[in-house]
Amino acid sequence: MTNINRRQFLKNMGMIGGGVLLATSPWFSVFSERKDTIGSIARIGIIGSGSRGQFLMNFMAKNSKVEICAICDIYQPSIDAALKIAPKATVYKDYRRLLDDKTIDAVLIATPLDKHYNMVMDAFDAGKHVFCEKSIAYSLDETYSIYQKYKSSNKVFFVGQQRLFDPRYIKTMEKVHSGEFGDISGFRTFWHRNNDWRRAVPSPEMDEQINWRLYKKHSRGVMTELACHQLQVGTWAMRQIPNKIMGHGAITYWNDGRDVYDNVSCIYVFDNGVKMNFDSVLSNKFYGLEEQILCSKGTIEPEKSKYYFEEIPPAPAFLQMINDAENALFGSLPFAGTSWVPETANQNSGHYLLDQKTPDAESSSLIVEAFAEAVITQKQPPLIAEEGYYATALSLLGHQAMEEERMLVFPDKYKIDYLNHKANQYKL
Amino acid sequence: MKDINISAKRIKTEMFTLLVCFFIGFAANIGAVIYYKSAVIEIITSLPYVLVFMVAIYCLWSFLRLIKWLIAGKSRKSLQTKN
Repeated sequence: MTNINRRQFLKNMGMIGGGVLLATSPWFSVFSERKDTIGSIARIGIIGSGSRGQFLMNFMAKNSKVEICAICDIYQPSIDAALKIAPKATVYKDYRRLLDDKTIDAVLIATPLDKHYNMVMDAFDAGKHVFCEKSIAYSLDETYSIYQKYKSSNKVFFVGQQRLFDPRYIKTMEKVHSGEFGDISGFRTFWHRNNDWRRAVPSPEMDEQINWRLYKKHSRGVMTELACHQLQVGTWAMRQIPNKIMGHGAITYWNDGRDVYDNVSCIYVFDNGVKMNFDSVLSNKFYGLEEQILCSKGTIEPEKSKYYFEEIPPAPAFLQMINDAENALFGSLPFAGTSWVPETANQNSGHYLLDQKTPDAESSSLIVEAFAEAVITQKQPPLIAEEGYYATALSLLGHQAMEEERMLVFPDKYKIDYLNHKANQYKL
Repeated sequence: MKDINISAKRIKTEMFTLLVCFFIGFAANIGAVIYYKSAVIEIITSLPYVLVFMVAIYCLWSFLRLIKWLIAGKSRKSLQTKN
């Protein structure tokens, strides 16, 4: 996104000047010095130049404040594709050699989940700022250690939770936090697909390397790859971390050698009893993905960019009269009163959150641009690391609850000072 | 082909009938706004519905008149046959 587009974006949000925007999304303060950083360059190395790495590289390549000076990968087709985006980048096969390069300010890590821990820790040790794709790490211990390392490093730490920069979600939070929709009663989040989630492999022995998402050895499946985005929306809206987690997972359709679940359902319970559900089925895509925020006065569906008030304005009086006359003549059932009528969903077409359609890629573009700004100013924007931390922690706890088939309580030892949580004195 | 002549009286009658239909709809709309405690502006904004209603009751009235005319025509014919 160019600077002009970003300004336009802020204008479109009706938030230029920052008050409302910063109240609901304080990490946008990262753009407050954007005029001062003109002419400065963030030199960034890419660790993991697969499809996600390339996707983010495309935005960096268009940003005049970013130079992609190095890439690191062990899979040649990924290196070749990345070099088309950044032809002048130095290629490394070992990320530690990339970290040895003192001219590199920051790294973007987009590798399989189980590789994150060592890479992020080594990057902080090497004095680099870090953008780590979600989820942060493979286990809670690793995630907690990474967060503590970031806190002691005085470096910038971003997690790829791009919804934090998505205009639809920002507008949603503005509405939720202003109380326009009343009290939050619940969240229904789901991410359904109807495909095997596999990528073609050149030879069978490379299957685990390329399809790492399908194996517990490398990933926590849909929880760390999909749920972490949606759970973060829940904590952002509630301004609370849920403390009870339960769930069930199974392989019900894709019995193709994978060992991560293709059918999961988790419930996260906030202290006030409000629940956040996450469901994912990989053999039906009819409902796709959404985060439905259910409030006492209405419902918001940010992915569709729509909201619906519970009380819809009545039809014009003339139509009501015609309708009542019609019901009186043809519609009355002598044996059943209104108590027999089921509470079917309202026919409510709702309203759009934004005046214009926002391209899906805009949030990814904006988070990458925000990272570059933060690297140049060397200032960590508020709360962004904490939102990422809890998104990962909740997705990992969901996985653990499914594995152990029991209800978990958020462990004190993994709490940090954020929202309703207070850091425990216990140290790992 | 035979020309169809519509007399000025017929046009006047039909126009008057249409006007009466409109006023029935308009009055019903005002009554509905009062009964359902809706915004007064609906007296204007619901005019398209009133116009549709006007056409509907005009058609209904015309249909009734057509039936009456057919019955009357049949009676006349049977009287003429008897005479």
